[in-house]
Amino acid sequence: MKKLMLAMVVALGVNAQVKYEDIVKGPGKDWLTYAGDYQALGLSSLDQVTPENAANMTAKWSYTVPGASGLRTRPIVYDGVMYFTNSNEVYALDARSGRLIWKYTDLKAQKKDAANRGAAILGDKVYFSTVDVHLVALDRRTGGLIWRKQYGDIKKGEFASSAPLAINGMIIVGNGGGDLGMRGAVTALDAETGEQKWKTFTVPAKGEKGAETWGEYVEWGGGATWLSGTFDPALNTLYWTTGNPWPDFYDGDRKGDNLYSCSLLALDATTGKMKWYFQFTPQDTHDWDAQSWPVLVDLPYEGKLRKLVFHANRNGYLYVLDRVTGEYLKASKLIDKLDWSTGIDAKGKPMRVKGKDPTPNGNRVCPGVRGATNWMSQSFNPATGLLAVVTLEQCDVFTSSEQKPEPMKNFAGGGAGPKPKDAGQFFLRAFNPLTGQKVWEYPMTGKGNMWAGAVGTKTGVIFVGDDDGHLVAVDGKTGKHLWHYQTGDDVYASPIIYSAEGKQYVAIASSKTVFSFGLFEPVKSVPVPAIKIQ
Amino acid sequence: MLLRLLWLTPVLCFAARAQHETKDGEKAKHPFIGDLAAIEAGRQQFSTGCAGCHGPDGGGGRGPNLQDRGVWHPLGDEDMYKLIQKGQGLMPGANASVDEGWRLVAYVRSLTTPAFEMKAPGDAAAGKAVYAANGCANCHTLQGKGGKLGPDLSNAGLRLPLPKIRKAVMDPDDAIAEGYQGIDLVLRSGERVRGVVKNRTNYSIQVQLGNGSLRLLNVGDVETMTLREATIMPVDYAKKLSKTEMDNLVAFLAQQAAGAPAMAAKQ
Repeated sequence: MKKLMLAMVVALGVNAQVKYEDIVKGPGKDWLTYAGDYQALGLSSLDQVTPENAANMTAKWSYTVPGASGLRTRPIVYDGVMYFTNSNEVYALDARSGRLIWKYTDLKAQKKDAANRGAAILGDKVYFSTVDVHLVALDRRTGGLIWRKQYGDIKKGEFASSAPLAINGMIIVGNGGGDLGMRGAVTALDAETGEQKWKTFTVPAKGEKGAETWGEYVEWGGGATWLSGTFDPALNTLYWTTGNPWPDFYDGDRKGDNLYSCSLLALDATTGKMKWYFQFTPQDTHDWDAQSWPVLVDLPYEGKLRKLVFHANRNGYLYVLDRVTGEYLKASKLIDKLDWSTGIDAKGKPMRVKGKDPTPNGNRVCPGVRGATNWMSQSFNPATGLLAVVTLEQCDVFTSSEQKPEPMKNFAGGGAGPKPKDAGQFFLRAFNPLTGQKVWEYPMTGKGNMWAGAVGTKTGVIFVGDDDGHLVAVDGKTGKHLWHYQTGDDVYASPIIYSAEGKQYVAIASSKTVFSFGLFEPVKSVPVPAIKIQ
Repeated sequence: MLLRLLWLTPVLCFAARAQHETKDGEKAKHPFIGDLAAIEAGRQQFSTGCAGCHGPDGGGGRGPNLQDRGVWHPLGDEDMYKLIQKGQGLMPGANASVDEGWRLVAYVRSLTTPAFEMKAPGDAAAGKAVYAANGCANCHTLQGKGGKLGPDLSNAGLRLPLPKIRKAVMDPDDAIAEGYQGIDLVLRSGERVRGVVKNRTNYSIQVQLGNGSLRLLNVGDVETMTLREATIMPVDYAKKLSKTEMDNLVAFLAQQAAGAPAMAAKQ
């Protein structure tokens, strides 16, 4: 036995590690970050699945997550191992077979009732956030806990649900809780030690610049940062979106623009200093967080190559900004049912229609509280110039309450929801953001319950979760249906693409189960091995 | 009846004064809870009576498994004391003295209290040297460093109670951690693969090698597969280590609690 052990120990080799440069390269064999790449293009270079053969896709494996309900996780994959999260948990599965390698359950978490969107990976560590706002570093090979560092405070209304973003030597994290009063922040921690490097609040403290755009409750103003951001390595800039001002539906105590809520922030990655901000919805009263992807692209704009950021916002508009300066360039409509504004002016401000704020008796406004789009993943293909975005055509009745705001007391200043027989409809739409043209759309006619997004391949296939529990493949040029699979459950998470042992897979989490799909292959008959038990 | 009343009187009196209001208004624990001498005395009492139904280590038998916290989790210390003394359903009462009753409570609590929260005997710093000298790191990982053929111990102090840590070192064959069964495969290609089985179905086997890398093998590619029922961990530490060395090693492992805020202070 000792000889056997010695042989196994001597067989030690140097394992490969995930390098920052690997993440910069974008998705190929591996899917190394929540969005797939720093730019959030959501576009895989794998080429086995094409519009011609996508109809041959089939389920390869599924893994039902014990106790899960409403999984929001988007997995990452490295070297044949898939890492995904549930609330206060991380799972490592074999990405070819879906079988469990290890599971980590956080024993110290003080709060459990929030979803988790995913993990990050760098070096030999897998990172995720616990609901009680701690960043946890795990050994990627064993799931062993390396460290657990607090970066927010549940006693101040914060929780954590987003996937961390790993950049060069740092892990960037955000916080949630903006619907009940808290203070949004983006925090950077050292990837090796977990030591805090910087923290940038999204809402000013009393007396700071921008506090004049609020009122008495500025320090509970929200501006949560509950979706990962994107990153431009050349500009060393993070692009992070912020959530609604609090109270969500009543602005009587916050007369002003409420900076920097409902905004896109450009942050220096080394210091956290704000380079610029762009506020999509000043003094929002409809819970239109800006949590949707800042997609980073370099394209000619009006004859000149520009570094651009596309942003499909919950308020109903698709924006194009210069990502070096934050200059507003263009906005176009994502949806037809949009009645709160007549358009966007030359400075990028919405031109509001009067009488579209929530009222005590209710006021029907379009889009609804879920927005024209939301945090679902998008896919941009430079070859077609098309951005695929899940959109929702829906109007809601918004009510307001003048009750004195009390932070962390389940008070949002009102509420919102659709009238009976006024339910909305989801569409996957492909836009050319530079022209504002909607090139195609794929309507969904299910029960209207989903948070699933899209992912694409350079070969021209787009995979998207639908509002009826399916993973669907459509042609990226035309939106034509190619394939679908019924998961038997709601889908609240976005798909990814990876390969293992030379075979391409597409994976998505349904509410309770992670599925992985690939091209059909006949099963070979399996000879039985000789099994000895000693 | 009189006897029963007499028996209950001291129990109820003690119960009334067993927990004291502190200045902060929090309930103080009975001094036996977490006290190693009381736990050991409780273990000895347990082995002469309770073990008949609950198993020699509280692992269950005719009666419930007390190492599974879910069995008694809703009970506070006072209620557990009363249950032990009075009995319930098929379980007879202990009819023990007040101190004996609380020693039993202390022992049952210790079966599930994380080792990190207990006062382990031994010197953790000296235990670190025992860990190093005995090559534990060849197979076990701490804080991302070490071999992968044995369970990662970075958080052992929070995951396991003291008795389980001690048992795992002294008698590793007793319970092999899931995912750490030794396997030796000869493939049809002639290649030999040895490691631990992470998972196995009728059609494929996943093996983790000593360096942490994973091999997923189709059963069809396997000529012979030898699964070890015995642990691959050396089983002679109980003989090889002195009592002091064993105490020190257990104390060191009990401190492995990377997620505990008090870890820095304890170290």
